[in-house]
Amino acid sequence: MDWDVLIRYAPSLGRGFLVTIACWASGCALGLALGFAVALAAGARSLALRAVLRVYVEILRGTPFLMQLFILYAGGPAVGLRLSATEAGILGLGLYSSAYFSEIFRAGFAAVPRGQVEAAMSVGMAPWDILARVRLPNALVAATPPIVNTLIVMSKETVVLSIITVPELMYQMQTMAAETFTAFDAIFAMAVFYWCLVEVVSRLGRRVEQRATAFLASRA
Amino acid sequence: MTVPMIAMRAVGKSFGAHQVLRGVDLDVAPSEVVCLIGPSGSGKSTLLRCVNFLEPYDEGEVRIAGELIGYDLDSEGERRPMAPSRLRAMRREIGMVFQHFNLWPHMTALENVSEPLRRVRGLPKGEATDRAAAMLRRVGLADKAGAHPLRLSGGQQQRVAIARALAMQPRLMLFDEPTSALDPELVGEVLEVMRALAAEGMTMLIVTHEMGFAAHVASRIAFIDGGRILESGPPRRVFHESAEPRVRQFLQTYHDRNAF
Repeated sequence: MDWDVLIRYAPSLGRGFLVTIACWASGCALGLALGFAVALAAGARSLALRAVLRVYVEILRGTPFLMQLFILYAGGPAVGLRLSATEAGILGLGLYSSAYFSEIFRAGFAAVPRGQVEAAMSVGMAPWDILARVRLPNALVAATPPIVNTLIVMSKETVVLSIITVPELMYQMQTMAAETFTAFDAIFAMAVFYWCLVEVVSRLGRRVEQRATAFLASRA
Repeated sequence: MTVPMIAMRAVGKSFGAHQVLRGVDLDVAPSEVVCLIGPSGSGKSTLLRCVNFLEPYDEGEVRIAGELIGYDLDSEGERRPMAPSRLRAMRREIGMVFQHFNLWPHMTALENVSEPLRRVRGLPKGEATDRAAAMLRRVGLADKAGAHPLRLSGGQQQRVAIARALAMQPRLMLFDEPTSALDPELVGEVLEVMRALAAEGMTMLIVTHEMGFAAHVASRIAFIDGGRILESGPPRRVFHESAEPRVRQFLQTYHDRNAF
């Protein structure tokens, strides 16, 4: 290991790490919101709407993330969508992850027993209250572990953003490796960074999961 | 004559090609307790669920205190689905208790009862909690207020469910096989609560297999088979004097099964 090189590049690596976290967090926040909306809309009566959403999910899940990013970043201007590399990266990550999140929410909603919703309807609760107070808390019991899992997968997918020149960790590492011929050190350091990030996410995830399922633990 | 609390006229309902209800007429007067009995698949639960429109009926009318539920009639008499907000307003007045309790597992017993008071009646938290606690006392569960449903026995869960429905101060209560999912030992505590409710003058429509309870508490028994009411009258007449062969056969089977 060439520690001098790592120390010299520490500021740019640190900046890259922060960009990675920022892209990951905002991309996933967008993905969760979109995925939630898609899952809700997928329960609509309209067959046409459901078909459109099905195609949306299948395309985003069925094609490589890298390809989607290229289309968004390089192809965007052709339809008037001019995005910086970072904006394209965040939007791309949001769209890509929304397909996975929507399937998780859909499965979560499907796991809520019909009777609980009927009980809420029978007392005259409004759809919004039924969603917020009955369906969602129950759906999250089933949905939280796969959501955390997908968050972890997405944290590593952020390396792909380096290819459209988002100055995230991978991009900074490649720059360092190219300038100093220290490929192995760079990759090793990167592994440590990502591993730390994943560890934090999974610990937080476990805590959220415990909260979501606390009432199950109280089973006699 | 007073307006019936529930008035059903020629109610029909099909699931695809399968016709579940075939022209059912049934009135329930205020403070009356009517038990629906009959074999499984006869349409009793479906009929009950038509009363609060959890099951939309296709034909006929269901009126609650004179008001048609589920549909609006336009000037030509054509009917169209009722505005959701009006349907919700009507459901608020109709309490329902389900076979499988359907408590919300992520809320405590107290929260299960106070939640509708807050979200639907719009009561402030303190007032909703007080009223919910009073309801739990009434069904004998004051000491279980903080317990989640999974920690309660089936009988306790069903009593919480009854408290949840009662807290809304409904004008009538629907019970869909409220004791069918319970261990035999726990049936009594639920029936006791229902008996007290009947004695207070609550209007009740009950789908049940508890013939003893029906015989003692019901003002009227309606026997349903094949989506039709085949016999209806005071318990004594239906249980002991019915000329309807299907009723006698059903009761005979019931006696044989429960004899030891």
